[in-house]
Amino acid sequence: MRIINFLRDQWFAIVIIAILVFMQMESDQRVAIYEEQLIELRKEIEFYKVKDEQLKYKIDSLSSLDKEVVEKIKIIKQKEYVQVKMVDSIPVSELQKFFTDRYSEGNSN
Amino acid sequence: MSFKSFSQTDTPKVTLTEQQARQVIKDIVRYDALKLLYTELEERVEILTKKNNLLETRLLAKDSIIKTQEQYISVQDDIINAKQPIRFNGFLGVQTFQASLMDPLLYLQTEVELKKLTVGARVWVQPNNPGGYGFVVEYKIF
Repeated sequence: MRIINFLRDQWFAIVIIAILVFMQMESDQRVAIYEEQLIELRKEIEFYKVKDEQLKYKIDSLSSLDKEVVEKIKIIKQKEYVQVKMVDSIPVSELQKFFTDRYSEGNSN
Repeated sequence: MSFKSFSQTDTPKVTLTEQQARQVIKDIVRYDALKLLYTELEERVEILTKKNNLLETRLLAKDSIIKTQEQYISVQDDIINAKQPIRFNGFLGVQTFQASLMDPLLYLQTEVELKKLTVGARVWVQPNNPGGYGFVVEYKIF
C-alpha cells in the first residue's frame, strides 16, 4: 500500500526516470552501431594503407631501376666521347682495320 | 655468245681520304652509341610510364584513406553526440511581479535538456510568502 501511495505521489519523477532510461538505452544502441561502423572503417583504412605501402615499395623499386638506367646512359655517353676522341689519334692501319672488322664479308651491320 | 663473269676485282671501290675515314668512323661510333642510348631510353620510358601509373594508383589510394578517415571522424562525432543526449543546467534567478521590486520571487532551478525538451524542478522563496517547489517542463520553440 505504501509503495502504491509512493508511486501515486511521485508519478512525475518516475515518468522522467523512465524517459531518461529509455533515452540512455536508445543512445547505447546507436553507439553500438556506430562502433561497428568504426571497426569497418578502421579495417578499410588498414587495407588502403597496406595497398599504399605496396605501391610505395613498387615505386621505390622502379626509381632504383631508373637510376641504374640513367647511370648506363651516362656511361654510354662517356664511352662515346672517349671513342670519338680516340679516332683522331689512332694510326691509319687501325682505321683500315676498323672498316675491315666492321664490314667483313657477311657482316653488314 | 658468252657472258663475262664478274670477279672480286670488278666490284667498284670507294676511296676515302684519311680525314674522311676518321670522320666516318666518328659518325659510326656516334651511331653505335645512339643505338645503345635508344635501347636504354626506351627502357627508361617504360619504367617512367609504369612509375607514373603506380603514382596515380597511389594517389587514388591516398584519396581513399583521406575519405575513409573523414567518415571515421564523422562517425566519432555521431558517437559524441549520441553519448551526450542529456545536458544538466542549474539557474539561480529573481522574478519580479510587474515592473516592481516588491516581493520578488527568488528561485533555484535545476533542469535536464533532452534535445528540444527541458524538464526540471524549481524551488522558490518569497519575502512575506511561504516558499515552495514545483516541476518545470519546457519545449524549445526556437
